[in-house]
Amino acid sequence: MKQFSVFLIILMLCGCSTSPEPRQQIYLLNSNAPLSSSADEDVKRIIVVDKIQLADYLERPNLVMQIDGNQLYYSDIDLWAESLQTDIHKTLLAWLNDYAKDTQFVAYDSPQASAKFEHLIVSIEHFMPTDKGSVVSDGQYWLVGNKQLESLSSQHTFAFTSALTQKGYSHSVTHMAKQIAQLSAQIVEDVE
Amino acid sequence: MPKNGEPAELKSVTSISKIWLVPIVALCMGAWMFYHQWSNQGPLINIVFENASGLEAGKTKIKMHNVDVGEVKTIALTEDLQKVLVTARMSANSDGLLRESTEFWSVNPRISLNGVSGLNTLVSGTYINMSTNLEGPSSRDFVALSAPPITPSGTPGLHVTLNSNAEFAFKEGDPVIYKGLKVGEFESIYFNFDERVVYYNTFIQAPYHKLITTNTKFWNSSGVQMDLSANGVKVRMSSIETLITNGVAFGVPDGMPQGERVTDRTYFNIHESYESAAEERYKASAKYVILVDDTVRGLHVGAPVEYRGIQIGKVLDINPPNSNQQKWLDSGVAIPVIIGIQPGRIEQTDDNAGIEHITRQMRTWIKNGFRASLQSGNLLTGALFVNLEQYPNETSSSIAKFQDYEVIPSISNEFSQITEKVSAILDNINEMDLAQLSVAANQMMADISASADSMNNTADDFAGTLRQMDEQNVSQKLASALTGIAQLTQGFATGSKTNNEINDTLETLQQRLRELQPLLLELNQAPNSLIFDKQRKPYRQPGASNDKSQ
Repeated sequence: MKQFSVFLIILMLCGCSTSPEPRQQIYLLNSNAPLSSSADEDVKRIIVVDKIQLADYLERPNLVMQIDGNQLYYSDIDLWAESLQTDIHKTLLAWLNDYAKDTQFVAYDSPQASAKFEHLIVSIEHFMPTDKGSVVSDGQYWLVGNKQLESLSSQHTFAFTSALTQKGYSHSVTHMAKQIAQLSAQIVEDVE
Repeated sequence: MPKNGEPAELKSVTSISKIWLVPIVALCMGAWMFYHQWSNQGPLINIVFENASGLEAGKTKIKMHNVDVGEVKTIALTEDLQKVLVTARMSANSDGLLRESTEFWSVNPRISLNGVSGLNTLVSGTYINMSTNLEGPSSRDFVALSAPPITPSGTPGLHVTLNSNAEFAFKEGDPVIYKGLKVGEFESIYFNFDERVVYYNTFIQAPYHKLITTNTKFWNSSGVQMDLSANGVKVRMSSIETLITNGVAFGVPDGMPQGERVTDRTYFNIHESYESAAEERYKASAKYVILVDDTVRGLHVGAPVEYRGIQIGKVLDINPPNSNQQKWLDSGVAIPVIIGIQPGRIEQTDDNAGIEHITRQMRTWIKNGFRASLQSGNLLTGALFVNLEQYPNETSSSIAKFQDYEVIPSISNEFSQITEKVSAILDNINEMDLAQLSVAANQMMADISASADSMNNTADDFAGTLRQMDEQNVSQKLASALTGIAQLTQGFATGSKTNNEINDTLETLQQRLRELQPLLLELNQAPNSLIFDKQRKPYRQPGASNDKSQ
């Protein structure tokens, strides 16, 4: 009986040691975003950036890749470090404030956010690399006036495509962060 | 042949030309046709009509069962100028149809309560109809009927004569109903001035005439009959036809034998209702008198006499003539009511033997307390009936008589008994000492007022106690509770420690769920992947734009 128990434990240890699991890769989108500067006292305009509206398939923690034109591939070992919704919001907010001169963008959950300010609503439909060696992102955004003025700005769309020079998700995440920076530049240009 | 030289002998020639054969043959043929026409024509008859409305000489036909049997030849007024004489030529073989009983009438469109007839004459024109029962001697002179006969001659059935001296009346054509079926009609009406009775000649069609027997009763079934009597409310309707016309029904009342078939023209009475007709089945009755001290209002002739709820007779008369008119001015005069106890109702023979049996039995019962009273049979109409009951305490040694009738002693009716009881109650009330009662009532009212004052004081004290409790305790507790609620809400307010902890917990939970999501997805696809080595899908990653390996 004792010999059988030893054999069983050895067998279980062997089972655990087989097929080594590849290590998970964790990515952060806003690691290269500029640091937010302190609020300027002379700022003339404050815009509240609302929570990013993501397509449902982007709300998973796995990095997603478009394959064969219309299929999606979720990587089991490449994961976002935090919610992509939060990550994009932080990155976008950092780049917006970096590009803007007369406008201050504040997060929707910051103490400065108020209903009297204008709101920026961003909706992202695609935001992923493809197996063809590119990163695509597109969507639309609205600048909504404050409730006192009841004004509504026009709708804007955006679409960016970047060619990848290296394979791998790390390089793709870098390009995705650059496209967020491009989106920020476009928004600031439209706003100011 | 004459010889030579001899003069010719001249002879006169007498011969008829053959051409004369033609008129002779024609004459013979005419004579034969005349004879044929004369020998084949029917008799010439005379019919007297009230007027010649619609009749035309040479056109109007005489029909029987819609077959032409003659034609009107001439129309002229009678000598007295009151009527119209119509001469008609009948067909050759109609001799046997022309009897004294043969009836003629002109057919015109007619609309009455009994129906519509003769509409076909609107197109074909008026004609004369004929019917016969082939009875009686031959005749050539007739008087037409003013209207179509209800029953054409020769119709199989039975003629009976009904009579009635009631106020209702019937007219020709009214139906005779048997169990809802129309089986006959009133044919003619005759009023006998001496008897003041109306006689109705009625025809019952075959085969229903077999139902008419010696025990058959006829009763009025016109419209809807409602009877409010001591027996309650009864509604009777014979047929839809009798709703708009009158009519009689007939039958043998329950309990009577069928009887024997009757001959033609038998007389029957028309009763007011089935009930009155059914009363005819009991012929014998033992008569008694009840001397009623109370009112007889609501008591009618024919009202039932009951013994313990079973009808055993009926009221025959109320206050008969020459009874006690000379005593009307006396106080306490009793009103005589004559009743008949019918032995046929109590399973005795409906004859004198049954009457004798009833008489003997009643004498014993009356001595042993058999008493009569008037009771209300219908509260709606107030109709009364005679109730016979045994009262053991009311024995008597002899039986009184009133005008040759034995008297059944009476007791007060229900209303009188109630009146006596109410009087007794009122007497007791009168005997009460109302003055002493008044003093006691005043004293009681004073006590009640004092008690009410005491209750008011108690209520005031209780209200004061409640007010103090409100001021001292309740307000303090309420303030303390509100303070606790305020502290509690402050603990959960934004920025508070509790709020921050809850937010941190939720964020941590959300993060753990996000980390668990890949595992849950994998378990969803392959539940055994925790134990067994899973077949991993090939790892794929984005390729470079110039890398063709992907």
